[in-house]
Amino acid sequence: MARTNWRKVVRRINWFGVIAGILMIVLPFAGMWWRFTVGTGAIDLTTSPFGITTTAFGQTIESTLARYIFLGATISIIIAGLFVLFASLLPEQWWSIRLMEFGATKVFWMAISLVMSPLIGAFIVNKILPGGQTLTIYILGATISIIIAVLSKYLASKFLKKWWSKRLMKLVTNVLLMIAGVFIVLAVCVFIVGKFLPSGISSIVPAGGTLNVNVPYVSGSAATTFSMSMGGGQAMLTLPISMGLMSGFALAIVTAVFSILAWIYHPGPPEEKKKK
Amino acid sequence: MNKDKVLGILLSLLSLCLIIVPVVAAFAAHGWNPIETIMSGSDPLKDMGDLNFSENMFSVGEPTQGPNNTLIINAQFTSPLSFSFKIKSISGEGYSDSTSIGSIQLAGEVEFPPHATKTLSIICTPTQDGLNYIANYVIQHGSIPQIQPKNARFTIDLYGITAEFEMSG
Repeated sequence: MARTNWRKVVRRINWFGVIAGILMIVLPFAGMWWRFTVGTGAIDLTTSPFGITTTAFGQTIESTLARYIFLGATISIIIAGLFVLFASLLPEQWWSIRLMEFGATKVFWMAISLVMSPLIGAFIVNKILPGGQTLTIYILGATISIIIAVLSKYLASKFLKKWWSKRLMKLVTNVLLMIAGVFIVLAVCVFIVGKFLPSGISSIVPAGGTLNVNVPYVSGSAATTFSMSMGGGQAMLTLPISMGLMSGFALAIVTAVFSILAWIYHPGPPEEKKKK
Repeated sequence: MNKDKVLGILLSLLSLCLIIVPVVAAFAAHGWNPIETIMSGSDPLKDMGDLNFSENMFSVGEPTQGPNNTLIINAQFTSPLSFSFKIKSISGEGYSDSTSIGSIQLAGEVEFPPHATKTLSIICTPTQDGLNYIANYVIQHGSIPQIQPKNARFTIDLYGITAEFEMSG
Protein backbone atom coordinates (compact mmCIF):
# COMPACT_ATOMS: atom_id res chain seq x y z
CA MET A 1 0.00 0.00 0.00
CA ALA A 2 2.74 2.37 1.00
CA ARG A 3 4.73 1.42 -2.12
CA THR A 4 1.68 2.07 -4.34
CA ASN A 5 1.15 5.46 -2.69
CA TRP A 6 4.83 6.30 -3.15
CA ARG A 7 4.63 5.29 -6.83
CA LYS A 8 1.54 7.44 -7.28
CA VAL A 9 3.31 10.43 -5.76
CA VAL A 10 6.40 9.93 -7.93
CA ARG A 11 4.29 9.57 -11.08
CA ARG A 12 2.35 12.75 -10.36
CA ILE A 13 5.47 14.88 -9.94
CA ASN A 14 6.36 17.03 -12.93
CA TRP A 15 10.01 16.00 -13.18
CA PHE A 16 10.76 18.49 -15.96
CA GLY A 17 9.58 21.19 -13.58
CA VAL A 18 11.68 19.90 -10.68
CA ILE A 19 14.82 20.06 -12.84
CA ALA A 20 13.79 23.42 -14.28
CA GLY A 21 13.08 24.86 -10.82
CA ILE A 22 16.49 23.84 -9.49
CA LEU A 23 18.26 25.15 -12.59
CA MET A 24 16.39 28.45 -12.35
CA ILE A 25 17.57 28.92 -8.74
CA VAL A 26 21.17 28.16 -9.74
CA LEU A 27 21.16 30.15 -13.00
CA PRO A 28 21.87 33.68 -11.60
CA PHE A 29 25.10 32.35 -10.10
CA ALA A 30 26.26 30.35 -13.12
CA GLY A 31 28.20 33.10 -14.86
CA MET A 32 27.72 35.62 -17.61
CA TRP A 33 25.88 34.96 -20.86
CA TRP A 34 27.40 37.32 -23.43
CA ARG A 35 30.59 39.27 -24.01
CA PHE A 36 31.28 42.41 -26.05
CA THR A 37 34.84 43.59 -26.58
CA VAL A 38 36.39 46.48 -28.47
CA GLY A 39 40.09 46.02 -29.11
CA THR A 40 41.92 44.04 -26.44
CA GLY A 41 40.16 45.52 -23.44
CA ALA A 42 39.49 49.09 -24.63
CA ILE A 43 35.89 48.27 -23.84
CA ASP A 44 35.06 44.99 -22.19
CA LEU A 45 31.48 44.19 -21.30
CA THR A 46 30.11 40.92 -20.00
CA THR A 47 26.47 40.60 -19.15
CA SER A 48 23.58 38.38 -18.26
CA PRO A 49 20.06 39.27 -17.10
CA PHE A 50 21.49 39.13 -13.55
CA GLY A 51 24.56 41.31 -13.79
CA ILE A 52 26.95 43.30 -15.91
CA THR A 53 30.64 44.16 -15.69
CA THR A 54 31.98 46.99 -17.82
CA THR A 55 35.52 48.27 -18.12
CA ALA A 56 36.80 50.97 -20.44
CA PHE A 57 40.56 51.53 -20.83
CA GLY A 58 41.19 49.74 -17.55
CA GLN A 59 38.58 51.73 -15.60
CA THR A 60 35.54 49.96 -14.17
CA ILE A 61 32.23 51.63 -14.92
CA GLU A 62 29.49 51.11 -12.39
CA SER A 63 25.86 52.04 -12.18
CA THR A 64 23.67 51.80 -9.08
CA LEU A 65 20.54 51.69 -11.23
CA ALA A 66 21.86 48.74 -13.24
CA ARG A 67 22.96 46.95 -10.07
CA TYR A 68 19.51 47.24 -8.49
CA ILE A 69 17.69 46.24 -11.66
CA PHE A 70 19.86 43.13 -11.98
CA LEU A 71 19.26 42.36 -8.30
CA GLY A 72 15.52 42.58 -8.98
CA ALA A 73 15.92 40.17 -11.92
CA THR A 74 17.91 37.74 -9.74
CA ILE A 75 15.27 37.76 -7.00
CA SER A 76 12.58 37.39 -9.65
CA ILE A 77 14.14 34.29 -11.20
CA ILE A 78 14.82 32.68 -7.81
CA ILE A 79 11.18 33.21 -6.78
CA ALA A 80 10.07 31.89 -10.18
CA GLY A 81 12.31 28.83 -9.71
CA LEU A 82 10.83 28.15 -6.28
CA PHE A 83 7.30 28.51 -7.66
CA VAL A 84 8.06 26.12 -10.53
CA LEU A 85 9.58 23.65 -8.05
CA PHE A 86 6.58 23.76 -5.67
CA ALA A 87 4.12 23.53 -8.57
CA SER A 88 6.01 20.54 -9.96
CA LEU A 89 6.16 18.69 -6.64
CA LEU A 90 2.46 19.29 -5.92
CA PRO A 91 0.85 19.49 -9.35
CA GLU A 92 -2.62 18.66 -8.11
CA GLN A 93 -2.92 21.65 -5.84
CA TRP A 94 -5.29 24.41 -7.01
CA TRP A 95 -2.41 26.94 -7.12
CA SER A 96 0.05 24.83 -9.10
CA ILE A 97 -1.00 26.01 -12.59
CA ARG A 98 -0.79 29.68 -11.60
CA LEU A 99 2.65 29.29 -10.04
CA MET A 100 3.85 27.28 -13.03
CA GLU A 101 2.58 29.94 -15.46
CA PHE A 102 4.25 32.68 -13.40
CA GLY A 103 7.68 31.11 -13.54
CA ALA A 104 8.03 28.70 -16.43
CA THR A 105 8.61 31.01 -19.38
CA LYS A 106 10.78 33.62 -17.66
CA VAL A 107 14.13 32.10 -18.61
CA PHE A 108 12.90 31.45 -22.16
CA TRP A 109 12.09 35.15 -22.63
CA MET A 110 15.33 36.24 -20.95
CA ALA A 111 17.36 34.08 -23.35
CA ILE A 112 15.40 35.39 -26.34
CA SER A 113 15.90 39.00 -25.17
CA LEU A 114 19.62 38.50 -24.72
CA VAL A 115 20.02 37.15 -28.24
CA MET A 116 17.63 39.63 -29.87
CA SER A 117 19.14 42.77 -28.29
CA PRO A 118 22.63 42.58 -29.88
CA LEU A 119 21.07 41.18 -33.07
CA ILE A 120 18.74 44.15 -33.43
CA GLY A 121 21.50 46.56 -32.35
CA ALA A 122 23.93 45.19 -34.93
CA PHE A 123 21.24 45.24 -37.63
CA ILE A 124 20.43 48.88 -36.87
CA VAL A 125 24.12 49.86 -36.91
CA ASN A 126 25.07 47.83 -40.01
CA LYS A 127 21.99 48.21 -42.20
CA ILE A 128 19.75 51.06 -41.00
CA LEU A 129 22.20 53.77 -39.87
CA PRO A 130 24.01 53.87 -43.26
CA GLY A 131 20.62 54.85 -44.72
CA GLY A 132 18.85 53.76 -47.88
CA GLN A 133 16.34 51.45 -46.19
CA THR A 134 12.61 51.64 -46.93
CA LEU A 135 9.80 51.18 -44.44
CA THR A 136 7.83 48.78 -46.63
CA ILE A 137 9.58 45.55 -45.74
CA TYR A 138 9.40 46.19 -42.01
CA ILE A 139 5.74 47.17 -42.02
CA LEU A 140 5.03 44.10 -44.15
CA GLY A 141 6.96 41.91 -41.73
CA ALA A 142 5.09 43.28 -38.72
CA THR A 143 1.73 42.88 -40.46
CA ILE A 144 2.38 39.30 -41.54
CA SER A 145 3.59 38.34 -38.04
CA ILE A 146 0.50 39.82 -36.40
CA ILE A 147 -1.83 38.13 -38.91
CA ILE A 148 -0.17 34.74 -38.35
CA ALA A 149 -0.30 35.24 -34.57
CA VAL A 150 -3.99 36.14 -34.58
CA LEU A 151 -4.78 33.28 -36.98
CA SER A 152 -2.85 30.78 -34.84
CA LYS A 153 -4.68 31.91 -31.73
CA TYR A 154 -8.05 31.57 -33.46
CA LEU A 155 -7.26 28.15 -34.94
CA ALA A 156 -5.87 26.93 -31.62
CA SER A 157 -9.05 27.91 -29.78
CA LYS A 158 -11.15 26.18 -32.45
CA PHE A 159 -9.28 22.95 -33.06
CA LEU A 160 -6.78 22.21 -30.33
CA LYS A 161 -8.19 20.11 -27.51
CA LYS A 162 -5.22 18.90 -25.49
CA TRP A 163 -4.02 21.31 -22.79
CA TRP A 164 -0.39 20.86 -23.78
CA SER A 165 -1.08 21.79 -27.41
CA LYS A 166 -2.98 24.91 -26.31
CA ARG A 167 -0.02 25.98 -24.18
CA LEU A 168 2.45 25.31 -26.97
CA MET A 169 0.33 27.37 -29.37
CA LYS A 170 0.15 30.19 -26.78
CA LEU A 171 3.95 30.25 -26.70
CA VAL A 172 4.18 30.24 -30.50
CA THR A 173 1.66 33.11 -30.67
CA ASN A 174 3.69 35.15 -28.18
CA VAL A 175 6.88 34.54 -30.16
CA LEU A 176 5.14 35.73 -33.34
CA LEU A 177 3.94 38.86 -31.54
CA MET A 178 7.51 39.46 -30.35
CA ILE A 179 8.73 39.17 -33.96
CA ALA A 180 6.07 41.68 -34.97
CA GLY A 181 7.35 43.98 -32.21
CA VAL A 182 10.89 43.68 -33.55
CA PHE A 183 9.73 44.66 -37.05
CA ILE A 184 7.91 47.66 -35.57
CA VAL A 185 11.04 48.76 -33.67
CA LEU A 186 13.10 48.46 -36.87
CA ALA A 187 10.47 50.39 -38.81
CA VAL A 188 10.62 53.20 -36.23
CA CYS A 189 14.43 53.27 -36.51
CA VAL A 190 14.23 53.45 -40.32
CA PHE A 191 11.73 56.29 -40.00
CA ILE A 192 13.91 58.25 -37.53
CA VAL A 193 17.09 57.76 -39.59
CA GLY A 194 15.20 58.72 -42.75
CA LYS A 195 13.92 61.90 -41.10
CA PHE A 196 17.06 63.12 -39.29
CA LEU A 197 19.86 61.52 -41.31
CA PRO A 198 18.56 61.34 -44.89
CA SER A 199 21.98 60.34 -46.23
CA GLY A 200 22.63 57.98 -43.37
CA ILE A 201 25.32 58.18 -40.74
CA SER A 202 27.90 59.36 -43.29
CA SER A 203 26.17 62.78 -43.20
CA ILE A 204 27.52 63.41 -39.69
CA VAL A 205 31.06 62.49 -40.64
CA PRO A 206 33.18 65.60 -41.37
CA ALA A 207 33.94 66.36 -45.01
CA GLY A 208 36.72 64.17 -46.35
CA GLY A 209 35.97 61.46 -43.82
CA THR A 210 34.59 57.98 -44.28
CA LEU A 211 32.97 55.74 -41.72
CA ASN A 212 32.76 52.03 -42.43
CA VAL A 213 30.65 50.46 -39.73
CA ASN A 214 30.83 46.73 -39.36
CA VAL A 215 29.55 45.10 -36.17
CA PRO A 216 29.14 41.34 -35.73
CA TYR A 217 25.71 39.80 -35.07
CA VAL A 218 25.55 38.31 -31.54
CA SER A 219 28.77 36.33 -31.99
CA GLY A 220 31.87 36.88 -34.10
CA SER A 221 34.47 39.51 -34.97
CA ALA A 222 34.47 42.51 -37.27
CA ALA A 223 36.18 45.87 -37.57
CA THR A 224 34.79 49.37 -37.83
CA THR A 225 37.03 51.95 -39.46
CA PHE A 226 36.87 55.70 -39.50
CA SER A 227 39.17 57.81 -41.60
CA MET A 228 39.35 61.52 -42.20
CA SER A 229 41.58 64.14 -43.73
CA MET A 230 42.85 66.82 -41.41
CA GLY A 231 45.12 69.75 -42.18
CA GLY A 232 47.02 68.15 -45.03
CA GLY A 233 47.19 64.80 -43.31
CA GLN A 234 45.07 61.72 -42.88
CA ALA A 235 43.93 59.88 -39.77
CA MET A 236 42.46 56.40 -39.60
CA LEU A 237 40.99 54.63 -36.61
CA THR A 238 40.38 50.88 -36.64
CA LEU A 239 38.18 49.39 -33.94
CA PRO A 240 38.17 45.58 -33.79
CA ILE A 241 34.87 44.45 -32.29
CA SER A 242 34.14 40.96 -31.07
CA MET A 243 31.13 39.40 -29.40
CA GLY A 244 30.33 35.95 -28.14
CA LEU A 245 28.00 33.86 -26.07
CA MET A 246 29.42 32.47 -22.84
CA SER A 247 28.93 29.31 -20.82
CA GLY A 248 26.14 30.80 -18.69
CA PHE A 249 24.01 31.06 -21.83
CA ALA A 250 24.33 27.32 -22.47
CA LEU A 251 22.88 26.63 -19.02
CA ALA A 252 20.14 29.19 -19.71
CA ILE A 253 19.13 27.29 -22.86
CA VAL A 254 18.99 24.00 -20.96
CA THR A 255 16.94 25.69 -18.22
CA ALA A 256 14.59 27.27 -20.78
CA VAL A 257 14.02 23.92 -22.53
CA PHE A 258 13.20 22.15 -19.26
CA SER A 259 10.96 24.96 -18.03
CA ILE A 260 9.01 25.09 -21.31
CA LEU A 261 8.62 21.31 -21.25
CA ALA A 262 7.51 21.57 -17.62
CA TRP A 263 4.90 24.17 -18.50
CA ILE A 264 3.57 22.32 -21.53
CA TYR A 265 3.54 18.99 -19.71
CA HIS A 266 2.19 20.30 -16.38
CA PRO A 267 -1.07 18.44 -15.75
CA GLY A 268 -2.58 20.74 -13.13
CA PRO A 269 -5.40 19.80 -10.73
CA PRO A 270 -7.73 16.88 -11.69
CA GLU A 271 -10.70 19.26 -12.44
CA GLU A 272 -8.48 21.07 -14.96
CA LYS A 273 -7.57 17.79 -16.63
CA LYS A 274 -11.25 16.84 -16.93
CA LYS A 275 -12.10 20.29 -18.34
CA LYS A 276 -9.37 20.06 -20.96
CA MET B 1 -13.73 36.63 -6.35
CA ASN B 2 -12.34 33.08 -6.36
CA LYS B 3 -8.96 32.23 -4.89
CA ASP B 4 -7.46 31.47 -8.31
CA LYS B 5 -8.16 35.03 -9.49
CA VAL B 6 -6.81 36.46 -6.23
CA LEU B 7 -3.62 34.46 -6.70
CA GLY B 8 -3.38 35.73 -10.28
CA ILE B 9 -3.68 39.34 -9.10
CA LEU B 10 -1.10 38.81 -6.35
CA LEU B 11 1.36 37.28 -8.81
CA SER B 12 0.85 40.21 -11.20
CA LEU B 13 1.51 42.63 -8.32
CA LEU B 14 4.60 40.65 -7.41
CA SER B 15 5.92 40.97 -10.98
CA LEU B 16 5.21 44.71 -10.93
CA CYS B 17 6.95 45.15 -7.58
CA LEU B 18 10.03 43.27 -8.77
CA ILE B 19 10.33 45.79 -11.61
CA ILE B 20 9.42 49.03 -9.83
CA VAL B 21 11.00 48.52 -6.39
CA PRO B 22 14.62 48.14 -7.61
CA VAL B 23 14.34 51.29 -9.75
CA VAL B 24 12.85 53.29 -6.87
CA ALA B 25 15.44 51.92 -4.44
CA ALA B 26 18.29 52.85 -6.79
CA PHE B 27 17.07 56.43 -7.15
CA ALA B 28 16.38 56.72 -3.41
CA ALA B 29 19.93 55.51 -2.66
CA HIS B 30 21.33 58.54 -4.53
CA GLY B 31 18.87 61.17 -3.34
CA TRP B 32 16.86 61.04 -6.60
CA ASN B 33 19.79 62.36 -8.60
CA PRO B 34 19.43 60.67 -12.00
CA ILE B 35 23.05 61.16 -13.11
CA GLU B 36 24.49 59.85 -9.86
CA THR B 37 22.07 56.94 -9.93
CA ILE B 38 22.99 55.94 -13.47
CA MET B 39 26.72 56.68 -13.40
CA SER B 40 27.45 56.16 -9.66
CA GLY B 41 30.15 58.78 -9.67
CA SER B 42 32.21 57.15 -12.40
CA ASP B 43 33.23 59.47 -15.19
CA PRO B 44 35.05 57.42 -17.80
CA LEU B 45 36.21 60.42 -19.83
CA LYS B 46 37.61 62.17 -16.77
CA ASP B 47 39.29 58.97 -15.61
CA MET B 48 41.09 58.68 -18.93
CA GLY B 49 43.31 61.59 -17.99
CA ASP B 50 44.00 64.98 -19.49
CA LEU B 51 43.35 64.62 -23.22
CA ASN B 52 44.86 68.02 -24.04
CA PHE B 53 48.24 67.36 -25.58
CA SER B 54 50.65 70.26 -25.15
CA GLU B 55 54.14 70.98 -26.43
CA ASN B 56 55.53 70.59 -22.90
CA MET B 57 54.87 66.87 -23.11
CA PHE B 58 57.32 66.47 -25.95
CA SER B 59 61.01 67.36 -26.15
CA VAL B 60 63.52 66.49 -28.85
CA GLY B 61 67.19 65.97 -28.08
CA GLU B 62 70.22 66.70 -30.24
CA PRO B 63 70.90 64.13 -32.95
CA THR B 64 73.85 61.85 -32.32
CA GLN B 65 75.79 59.64 -34.65
CA GLY B 66 74.67 56.03 -34.76
CA PRO B 67 76.13 52.90 -36.37
CA ASN B 68 76.38 52.55 -40.19
CA ASN B 69 76.21 56.31 -40.84
CA THR B 70 72.83 56.69 -39.22
CA LEU B 71 71.65 59.44 -36.90
CA ILE B 72 69.80 58.78 -33.68
CA ILE B 73 67.34 61.34 -32.40
CA ASN B 74 66.03 60.77 -28.89
CA ALA B 75 62.69 62.38 -28.16
CA GLN B 76 61.04 62.36 -24.75
CA PHE B 77 57.30 62.14 -24.45
CA THR B 78 55.21 62.32 -21.27
CA SER B 79 51.85 60.59 -21.53
CA PRO B 80 48.92 62.58 -20.07
CA LEU B 81 46.71 59.50 -20.18
CA SER B 82 45.73 57.35 -17.20
CA PHE B 83 45.87 54.16 -19.25
CA SER B 84 48.69 52.49 -21.13
CA PHE B 85 49.19 52.63 -24.86
CA LYS B 86 51.87 51.75 -27.41
CA ILE B 87 53.54 53.76 -30.11
CA LYS B 88 54.03 50.99 -32.63
CA SER B 89 55.79 52.84 -35.40
CA ILE B 90 56.92 56.22 -36.60
CA SER B 91 58.19 56.60 -40.13
CA GLY B 92 58.70 59.33 -42.67
CA GLU B 93 61.33 61.57 -44.17
CA GLY B 94 63.89 63.65 -42.32
CA TYR B 95 64.61 67.18 -43.48
CA SER B 96 66.99 69.88 -42.44
CA ASP B 97 66.26 73.38 -43.72
CA SER B 98 64.20 72.08 -46.68
CA THR B 99 66.94 69.62 -47.60
CA SER B 100 65.99 65.97 -47.61
CA ILE B 101 68.35 63.99 -45.44
CA GLY B 102 66.83 60.50 -45.62
CA SER B 103 64.22 58.27 -44.04
CA ILE B 104 63.31 58.21 -40.36
CA GLN B 105 61.98 55.29 -38.40
CA LEU B 106 61.21 54.45 -34.78
CA ALA B 107 63.78 51.97 -33.47
CA GLY B 108 61.14 49.78 -31.85
CA GLU B 109 57.69 49.73 -30.24
CA VAL B 110 57.48 51.82 -27.09
CA GLU B 111 54.88 51.06 -24.46
CA PHE B 112 53.74 53.94 -22.26
CA PRO B 113 52.35 53.03 -18.82
CA PRO B 114 49.88 55.58 -17.38
CA HIS B 115 51.41 59.07 -17.05
CA ALA B 116 54.87 57.74 -17.88
CA THR B 117 57.75 59.54 -19.60
CA LYS B 118 59.58 57.49 -22.15
CA THR B 119 62.24 58.04 -24.74
CA LEU B 120 61.53 57.43 -28.39
CA SER B 121 64.67 56.56 -30.36
CA ILE B 122 64.19 57.62 -33.95
CA ILE B 123 66.76 56.44 -36.46
CA CYS B 124 67.49 58.59 -39.48
CA THR B 125 69.09 56.69 -42.38
CA PRO B 126 70.61 59.35 -44.66
CA THR B 127 70.88 59.05 -48.39
CA GLN B 128 74.22 59.82 -50.03
CA ASP B 129 73.11 63.43 -50.60
CA GLY B 130 71.98 63.56 -47.01
CA LEU B 131 75.36 62.36 -45.79
CA ASN B 132 77.09 65.01 -47.87
CA TYR B 133 74.81 67.70 -46.44
CA ILE B 134 75.51 66.55 -42.88
CA ALA B 135 79.24 66.46 -43.48
CA ASN B 136 79.23 70.04 -44.83
CA TYR B 137 77.03 71.18 -41.95
CA VAL B 138 79.34 69.68 -39.37
CA ILE B 139 82.32 71.38 -40.95
CA GLN B 140 80.53 74.75 -41.03
CA HIS B 141 78.71 74.65 -37.68
CA GLY B 142 80.59 72.09 -35.65
CA SER B 143 77.41 70.08 -34.85
CA ILE B 144 74.98 67.69 -36.49
CA PRO B 145 71.93 69.50 -37.96
CA GLN B 146 68.47 69.24 -36.37
CA ILE B 147 66.22 66.85 -38.29
CA GLN B 148 62.53 67.68 -38.80
CA PRO B 149 60.06 65.01 -39.88
CA LYS B 150 58.00 65.36 -43.05
CA ASN B 151 55.32 63.04 -44.45
CA ALA B 152 55.43 61.33 -41.09
CA ARG B 153 53.25 58.37 -40.26
CA PHE B 154 52.45 57.34 -36.68
CA THR B 155 50.76 54.17 -35.55
CA ILE B 156 49.43 54.02 -32.01
CA ASP B 157 47.79 51.10 -30.28
CA LEU B 158 45.32 51.76 -27.47
CA TYR B 159 44.15 48.47 -26.04
CA GLY B 160 43.88 46.96 -29.51
CA ILE B 161 42.38 50.03 -31.18
CA THR B 162 44.76 51.13 -33.91
CA ALA B 163 45.11 54.80 -34.75
CA GLU B 164 47.20 55.76 -37.78
CA PHE B 165 48.12 59.34 -38.59
CA GLU B 166 49.77 60.53 -41.78
CA MET B 167 51.04 64.07 -41.85
CA SER B 168 52.19 65.60 -45.11
CA GLY B 169 54.61 68.50 -44.65
